[in-house]
Amino acid sequence: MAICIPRRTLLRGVGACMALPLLEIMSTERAQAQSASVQRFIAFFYPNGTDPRKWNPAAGALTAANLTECLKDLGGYAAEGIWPAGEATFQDVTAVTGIDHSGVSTDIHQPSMALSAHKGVANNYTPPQPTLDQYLAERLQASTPYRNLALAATPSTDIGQGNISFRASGQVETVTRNPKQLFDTLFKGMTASTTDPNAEKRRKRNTSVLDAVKEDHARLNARLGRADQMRVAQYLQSIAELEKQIASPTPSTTSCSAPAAPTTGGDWHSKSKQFVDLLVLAMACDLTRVVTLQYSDSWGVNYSGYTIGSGKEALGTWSDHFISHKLDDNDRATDLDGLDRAEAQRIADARVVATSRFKVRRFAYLLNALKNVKTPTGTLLDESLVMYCSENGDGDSHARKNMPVLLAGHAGGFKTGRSVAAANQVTGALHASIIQRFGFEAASYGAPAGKPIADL
Amino acid sequence: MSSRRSLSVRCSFGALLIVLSAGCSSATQSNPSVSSGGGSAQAGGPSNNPASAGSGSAPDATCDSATPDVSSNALRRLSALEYQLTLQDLFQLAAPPSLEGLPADTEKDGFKVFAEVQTVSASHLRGYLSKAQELGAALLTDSARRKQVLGCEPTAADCLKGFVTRFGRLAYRRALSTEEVDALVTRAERDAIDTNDRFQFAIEVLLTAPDFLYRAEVGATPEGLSKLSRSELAAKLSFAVWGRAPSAELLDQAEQGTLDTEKGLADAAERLLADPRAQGFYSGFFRQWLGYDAVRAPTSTVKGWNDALLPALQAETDAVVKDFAWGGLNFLDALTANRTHVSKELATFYGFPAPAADGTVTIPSSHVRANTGLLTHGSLLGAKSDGDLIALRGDWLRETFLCQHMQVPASVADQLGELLVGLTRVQIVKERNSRGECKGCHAVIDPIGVGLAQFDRAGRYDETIDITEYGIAPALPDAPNPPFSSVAELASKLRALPQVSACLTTRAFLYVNGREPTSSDRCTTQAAEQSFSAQASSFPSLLRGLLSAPSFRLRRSE
Repeated sequence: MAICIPRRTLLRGVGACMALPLLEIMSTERAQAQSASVQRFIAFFYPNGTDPRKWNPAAGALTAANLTECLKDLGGYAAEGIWPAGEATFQDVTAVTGIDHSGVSTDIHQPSMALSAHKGVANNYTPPQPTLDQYLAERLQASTPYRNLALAATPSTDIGQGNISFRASGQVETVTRNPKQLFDTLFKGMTASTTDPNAEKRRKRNTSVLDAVKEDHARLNARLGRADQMRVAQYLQSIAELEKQIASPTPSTTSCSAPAAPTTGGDWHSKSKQFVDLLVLAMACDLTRVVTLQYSDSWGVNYSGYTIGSGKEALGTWSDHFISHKLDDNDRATDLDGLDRAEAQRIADARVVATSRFKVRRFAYLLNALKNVKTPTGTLLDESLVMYCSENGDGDSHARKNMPVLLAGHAGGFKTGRSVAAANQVTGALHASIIQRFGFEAASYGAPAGKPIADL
Repeated sequence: MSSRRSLSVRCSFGALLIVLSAGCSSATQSNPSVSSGGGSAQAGGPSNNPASAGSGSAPDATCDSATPDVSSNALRRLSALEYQLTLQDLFQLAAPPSLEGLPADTEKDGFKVFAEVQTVSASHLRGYLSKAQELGAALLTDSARRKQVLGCEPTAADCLKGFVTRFGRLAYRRALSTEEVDALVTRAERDAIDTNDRFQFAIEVLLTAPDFLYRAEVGATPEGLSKLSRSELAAKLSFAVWGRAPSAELLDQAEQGTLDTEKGLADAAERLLADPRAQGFYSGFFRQWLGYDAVRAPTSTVKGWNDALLPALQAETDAVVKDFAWGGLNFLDALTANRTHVSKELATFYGFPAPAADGTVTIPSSHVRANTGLLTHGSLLGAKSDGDLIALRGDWLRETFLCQHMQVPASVADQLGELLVGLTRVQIVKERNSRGECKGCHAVIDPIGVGLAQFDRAGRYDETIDITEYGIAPALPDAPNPPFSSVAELASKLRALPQVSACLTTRAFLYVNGREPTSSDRCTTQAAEQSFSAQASSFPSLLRGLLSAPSFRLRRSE
């Protein structure tokens, strides 16, 4: 069965975007279906926390002058390898400092709990309730073809390390780990001829295939016990989602052509960049309204290929995890062994600032990409809330307090360009604030529960 | 890298990573091999799966019943591997087809077979449809293979009906009803684009239908305990040994009642076990159980390393495991083996003499790896390369060979940052072995880890690594005489522990059933363990024990 996204659902002018450094080309008209009420959510996960002392800005306005060491590049950044230079984004970002995630993630290095506000029940790595993106996907999807997209540049399929998106009852959301695969799903077929004389016949045929498997589901379901019926109910739900993707009912009078297919393979960075570019296109074409992107598992990502820091401070080929541990841990950059203690500490601290800045630059790239897509009422960033998150707060100590949280964009009238102190407020409070921002009721949310944070 | 559940230890903080509660230390000190705590990692500390502690336990009289207790099974979706192997058979392909475009299975505790975490999402369905389309199209343009698989010319009368009947039976692992066949044929004839597309249409339906994707086991009644139907039993047997749907021959035998008797089932199992396809399917088991599927190139510079060693390391363990599992040997001897299979480059990396033309090499008795079997394979040591190696390897050995899960209690995990500020690496190890809330569990993992600490992250032996600075003597706390002075001694002491057989049994049970055994499955695990020990620890005998247990014919749904 050829599964194509009908050209009519997509926007004109997206073609060749993938070959361009940024998405400036997409200053294009939007599908008429998209109104000012469209709201989007994107979660950007990067592992190993940060150094909260050098990340957290003081409460109040963010300005180019008062950005902390780790957030400095929210003031703009130069081109770097595959990543183009970007403008300042601090005015579109609100830092939320002091969030306490330790009641939710009761073990260290659990990316799977990063978007959960609920402590595990069956175990400590499976969210017992839908993660924040899933909560929102259920409510924001409207008629978009894809309820949500879960993307990850890590090849790990471990439930705790390679997944950050979970539906109800701990159901792992299927993750796309290969940008080429994402491209094929979203855009392949867009270049197919629209003059296929059998198009209508083919559509009926493909519908008939799905009708036939639904009939098989009904027959099987009738034979099964209750527990098994609950398992196969998921199948029916997935068929419905697939049908929605194929039918793609988003009305539009415009069309867009497929971008160039991304290359396969690559490291965390190139995959993540391809994912960012594709997810922005998917948003621009209103194929989906909720996306999660996991940049890496806790162990994988390193900075080889980049020249970051000089002399002893250079990051070299050390992994982000090793750098995050600074000194005295078995997982440390051992090239600092034997140095004067104070000097070693200074260098280790500087390296964590350097990796944190890198992380922020990648987040800022996403923000700029969203900002560069014009909509009838502004930009994609205006209708989005984009969240930066990690599995730990202080990467060195594994503390899940003082989590690095950045919220960007203006969905629901969100106010940016500031830092909100939320010392010791639990993750449930943060999520309650976000849920309310999207217009849904959450007077109290999570386990441990929290109430919406004042002023957020 | 390893992705075991006890992640705490792999994350470095080196720390009091396995800092455990008083309850943990108590359980550990009393008898770490027997616990009624279940497999949950929630409570903290080590716990055994209750069904894994069969070692030394008295036979259970209730297990003599023809319908012993069994736990309920989650309805299983075909694993990616089962799907792939089944497609190979259905389309009569020389090699398994590519899985590109299909989501990978979710991994838990290093295994990809836990039914409860596998889903069928829209992405899966998209992948299944695409794969059916791709393989169907290739089939229809390959005249020789088309004739074999279709059994007739596409244009011949009733060819479609015959194809749906035969192909559908293999796909669904049961005969389709007349109504099912007629409905699909009618639909294909009505809605397909052309003659060939009728077959394509049928293939897409059959290979995306829940009857194909789920391994339904219903038996006579959908609720409670029930005996599997004949075809369900054939499917269960084939998936358990070959990881693929049953052949037409096996389905024929089952439907004729051949598997109804103990001997009939045992004979069929024997035929499957003797086929190389069993070894192929269980190579996946060993990679997941021992964790070496996860080995990656080291992220930091290692003397003598080059990336060509990576496949060589895995190939070494594949070969050794295959020898001991299928070569008529005592499988436990793989733990103390003194013979291995290496490439020239790997021999150099290890410091071995040049291997024979077939890759075999006998390790000189003076070599640090002599008589250490699997324990010093670089694929196993290197697969746990990112974390505090002492805690990590101690924990890995307990989890892999003794089936003990370790977990940091949340109350302690939250204090780690404060507890460890300013301590050096050595101080951290000493601290966690002296603090009351920590030492209970670190006492059972760190002495093992220290004994392996002179192997670096890539599994290379480095005699310059000083293990005396920790002040911990190498020991296997579970052994009657715990201290060891060489890894060979550790291997020997480990091999002698009865818990190893019990643990291997629960892992094989997991691979066959898609879930861990519970106390309700004790009859099954006991039968398998007894079969294993009665036949000089032959691996096929362990499987025979699982396949011949009365519970193999049963399923519980609730």
